[in-house]
Amino acid sequence: MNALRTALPLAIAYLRERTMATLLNIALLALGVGTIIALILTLNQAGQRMERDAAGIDLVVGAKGSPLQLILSAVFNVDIPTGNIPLADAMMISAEPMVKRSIPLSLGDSFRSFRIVGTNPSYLELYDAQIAQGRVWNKALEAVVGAEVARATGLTVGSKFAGAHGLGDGGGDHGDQPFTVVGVLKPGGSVVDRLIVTSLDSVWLVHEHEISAAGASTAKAADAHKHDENREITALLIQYASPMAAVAFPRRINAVSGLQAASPALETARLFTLVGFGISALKLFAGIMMVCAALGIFIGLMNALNDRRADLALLRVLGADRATVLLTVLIQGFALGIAGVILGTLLGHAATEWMGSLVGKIHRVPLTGWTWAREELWVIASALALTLLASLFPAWRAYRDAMPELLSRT
Amino acid sequence: MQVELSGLRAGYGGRVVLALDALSIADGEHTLVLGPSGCGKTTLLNILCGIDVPVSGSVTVSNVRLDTLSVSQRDHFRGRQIGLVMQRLHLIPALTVEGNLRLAQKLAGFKTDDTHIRGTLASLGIADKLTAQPRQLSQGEAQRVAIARAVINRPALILADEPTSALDDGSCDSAIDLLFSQAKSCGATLIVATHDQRIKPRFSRVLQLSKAAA
Ligand SMILES: Nc1ncnc2c1ncn2[C@@H]1O[C@H](COP(=O)(O)OP(=O)(O)O)[C@@H](O)[C@H]1O
Ligand SMILES: [Mg+2]
Repeated sequence: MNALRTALPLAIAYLRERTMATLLNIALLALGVGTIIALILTLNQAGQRMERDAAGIDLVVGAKGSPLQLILSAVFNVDIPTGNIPLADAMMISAEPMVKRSIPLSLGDSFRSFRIVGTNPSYLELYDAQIAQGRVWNKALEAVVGAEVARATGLTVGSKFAGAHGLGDGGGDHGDQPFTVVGVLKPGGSVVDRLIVTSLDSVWLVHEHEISAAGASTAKAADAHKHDENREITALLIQYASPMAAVAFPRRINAVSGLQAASPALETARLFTLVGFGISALKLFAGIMMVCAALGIFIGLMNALNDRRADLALLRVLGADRATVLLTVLIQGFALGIAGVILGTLLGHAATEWMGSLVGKIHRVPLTGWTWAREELWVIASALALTLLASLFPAWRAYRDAMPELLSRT
Repeated sequence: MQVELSGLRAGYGGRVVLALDALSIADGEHTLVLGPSGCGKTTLLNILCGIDVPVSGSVTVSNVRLDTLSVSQRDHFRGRQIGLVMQRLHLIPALTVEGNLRLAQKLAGFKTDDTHIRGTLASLGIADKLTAQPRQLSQGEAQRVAIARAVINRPALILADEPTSALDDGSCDSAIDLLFSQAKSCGATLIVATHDQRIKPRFSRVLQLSKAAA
């Protein structure tokens, strides 16, 4: 304890003496730690989101195209859909005995870049979405908005809004077919927070209207039954009745022309292997930065040792034992480590929050720096261990070389 | 008795450079160790403060048998009981004058005492140097800081190695005055080792060393 009391001010005085090298080492360490922490926070949140959003969905049926795109668009609501499939096909699939639950989705419109999803109330059940205010829709053009949508747009029960064509911001809008908000959902941490949910009828109504407005006004009295046959949805979310279904069921659907089946679990796993290389490279880079920082600390301490032989011997002359001398050097290295780690942790969280604010505006995907991950402790611990390791040899050298007898004669 | 030596043989690598069959110095008996360069004066001081151990013989300082202590025990003893003014002053350049003195207090295991630091600097006439860096000091000021550091923990024994050899006659006298007055104010015994004949008259007790035969 006394050693610490003595060593700390001395270590700080020494570090202050070489400001540039000290700052450089701290910055390097902070960058390494910060990068890894930002990666961890981002990946963790993305992973948790994906797991939550894909929970209970065994298979997604949609139009042929990229299976990853189908999953991204239908489950995570981040990509554009692969196309549409006939409602009749979807109904046939739903009737299969291997299907326990099926939820149709119809996508295509948005409001201020929040997606409007046409579906049935079982979609809300899938995510356990609770009504905070109002009620679920019971007729066309009534909508329920997710908590985040309500927060960001100010929509509330009774508000009217017009969907815009397309999933981004700025498509032409359907101003003549406004939706009425009849319910606001509680925040649930799932994709529904960022969605406007309505009935399939609503989506069809808006688009039929568009078609007829586009010229086919003579066909407006078209037979309702026939119309029904031509109806389309974007995707069908499926929960199997038994895990055995995974073996043959997707293959059967893929055989049908125009349809494809994709598994969220498989596609997310594939996504992570795709981005996995980039992540590993980034982690390696950050790791190298940390090692460089440790090397810098090592070199700095070794140089200081040569410059300050006399000082270290003096500590002995003034009554410090060799353990205190060893601690002095160790504390110098460790002080750098702690400064770098604190700065790096702050940096990592700030960077994540900043990325979140950028990404959030464009894609409506939540990402925050105001959260913690257990893996961070590992990063912090290994950074500190690394600096301790870097200080160990110089400290031992100081222990060995601090000889007061050298001082009294020179 | 402040210092008690008997049958002392000290040397390096098998060569004896200092032989003292018996020496005792009473409390407050300020002593000058005089002799030509290379006769073993610094060796004697090193043994008295526990930096070196003798080849044989016993060393008792302030009733402690130094030759029987471990290295770290001798370090602790030195920090608390001995004030050392070395030939070269060795102030730590990264610390201010105040920082150097505080360090001496902490290393000895004492609480830092800023009032005592200021008082000591004032008694040495360098009160205004409290926050100065060592490199901003003149040679004379630096020596006073080194003396301050030696006495800051109120040691029982003050050892000064060649404190006057680089000084002109006037400064030589005032350096010795300061050492005497500081020894008095902390009740310490002063031992000065030097080849400088000018200060011989200032001491009532003089230990004359001559070069040991090889
Ligand atoms: N570390 C050492 N190794 C070998 N010989 C030494 C060492 N230190 C001092 N000596 C020798 O011991 C003798 C006494 O040295 P020292 O006590 O420094 O003399 P003084 O202080 O009286 O000038 C000298 O001959 C010197 O060369
Ligand atoms: Mg000498």
